[in-house]
Amino acid sequence: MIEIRNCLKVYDQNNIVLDYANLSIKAGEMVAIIGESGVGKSTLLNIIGTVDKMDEGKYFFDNKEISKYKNKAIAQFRTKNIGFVFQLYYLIPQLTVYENLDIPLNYAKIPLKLRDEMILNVLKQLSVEHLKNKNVDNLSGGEKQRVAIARALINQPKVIIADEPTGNLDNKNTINIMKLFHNINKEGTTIIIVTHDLEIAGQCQKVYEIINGKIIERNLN
Amino acid sequence: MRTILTIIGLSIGTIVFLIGSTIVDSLKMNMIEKIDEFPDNIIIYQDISSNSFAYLSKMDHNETITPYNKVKVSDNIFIKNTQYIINYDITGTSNNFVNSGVPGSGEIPFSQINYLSGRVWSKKESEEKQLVVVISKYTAELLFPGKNPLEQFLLIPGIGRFKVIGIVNDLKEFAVQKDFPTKENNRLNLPDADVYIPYTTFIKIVNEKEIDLEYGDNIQFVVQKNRYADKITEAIKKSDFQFELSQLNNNYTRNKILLTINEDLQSFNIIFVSIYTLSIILCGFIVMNTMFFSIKERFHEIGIRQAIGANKSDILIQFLYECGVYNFLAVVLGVSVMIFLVSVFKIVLINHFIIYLSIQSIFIVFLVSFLQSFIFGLIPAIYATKIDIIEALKFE
Repeated sequence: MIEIRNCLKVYDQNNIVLDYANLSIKAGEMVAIIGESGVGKSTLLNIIGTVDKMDEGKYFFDNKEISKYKNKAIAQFRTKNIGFVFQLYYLIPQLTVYENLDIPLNYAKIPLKLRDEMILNVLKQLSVEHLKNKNVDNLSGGEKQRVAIARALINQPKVIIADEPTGNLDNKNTINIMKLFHNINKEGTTIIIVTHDLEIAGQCQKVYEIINGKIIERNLN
Repeated sequence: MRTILTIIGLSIGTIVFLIGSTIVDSLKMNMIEKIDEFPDNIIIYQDISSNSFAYLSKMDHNETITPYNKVKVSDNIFIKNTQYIINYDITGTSNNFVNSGVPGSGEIPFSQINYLSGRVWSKKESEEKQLVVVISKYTAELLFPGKNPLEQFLLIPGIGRFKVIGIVNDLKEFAVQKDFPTKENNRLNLPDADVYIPYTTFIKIVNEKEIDLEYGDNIQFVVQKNRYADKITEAIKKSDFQFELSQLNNNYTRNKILLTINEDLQSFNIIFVSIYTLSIILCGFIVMNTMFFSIKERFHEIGIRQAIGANKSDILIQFLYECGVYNFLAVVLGVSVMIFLVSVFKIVLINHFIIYLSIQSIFIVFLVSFLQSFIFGLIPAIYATKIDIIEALKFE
């Protein structure tokens, strides 16, 4: 499903973050990417999520070469296929949960009459329907992350990309969020999680570690 | 708070324009109101084809003559209020009283009457049947030698004291022109001493005093009737009456006065438009500044929006829309304030001055506001589309 070939990413001309790295992720997998701080985990995630571009290399998604796409096509691709979950949730402040979930639907040009149902469905799926009209500023960390996951799921993407999704949560919420990811994964959505927490990574089917710009598959067992 | 201040700033710009346009429009309205008291176009026409019809007898007067009669003279010109002018023809004075004499003769288009000083009577004076009079230069010399006749009183026996409000040129010169041959005029070398009073005043005099107005009486009136206007039309058609249409555009026609007023107010308009243009530019920079601040503040949000599916056009439209909303609210606020102010002034200045806030001006501010939001919002909005998503997501 996702194939990255010979990915080169260099910052400031000398800082090689990804050194002709390769990665292959199959549809429906739950994958963890680990590594020390600054090794390029988030950069790799951003490249997979098409918010960043590689300097060299090719990116295939469902056998289509995304790296050739232009900006508008990339945005459309991202809207349709990728859902983002961030460590700090990145919900739009001052808006309600409902409004936050409506934004990606709006960008995806989903008709108004369908949106309400889609939002309610995803809120139910994540057991946060009671938060529908709450301002996101008034939610707890766990609630915010659930809403962020709901937003990532709203357009029914093929891949969820989660950058340290539990990094800001306590143990209880971490367990709940990981359960949620497992459930979503069971329904067929590919999940890629960047984490430095080996316990979290251990819950994934595959674990890749970035070492010296190369992506190496690790067996944590 | 910044947004609110921006909206207030923009609405002040709107108010500046509306105040300017309201002043200009109100001045114009008030001037037109005053001018409307004048007859639209005045023409007098004396027919010499018979001995009797040119002089109004009681019997003549009983014929229906509508003061506001509108007569089509040609395809282009409508003459209103024809009957407002009466040629009260005198030939001399005795003890400052008007004496009898040979009535005025010759065909005299009113376009030949030019006001040398003073004014014609207003509609109000005419309708209220006030005793005002316009006299010819020759009459003035006869009755008020060496004096300024304006505001003086002309005593007509058995009728009353008429206040002199205007002096016009003598018409005898015209009467002797070969194009307008006279039939019975034994005094071609002297101008007639003409006196003009409002028709309505005349009617009042006739009704109340029951003056028997016969040829040879001390006082003789010549009045224009509807049928003469028809004759003019007919004469024009036959081309045996060289009627210069341009002669109607003398210095005292309503249209010409309106034209002059419009020209004068145009200068005001230019000043206010200049001020408004400056205020638009100033407000535009305020909008731009606010938009840049807003984008800077929402730098991170822009990154989030891009990450969840927004493309560049979505971001562009979002910020243009927000800019448009600011401007729209500002205009609504400005217009509301102006409507309130105009209402207050209308109450305060009731009957003294017409305050007029035109729909056209309101439409203009909405249109300009729309254009302003687009022009001055475009640069910040384009800037927002160029924000790097990674940088924006990192930005805290």
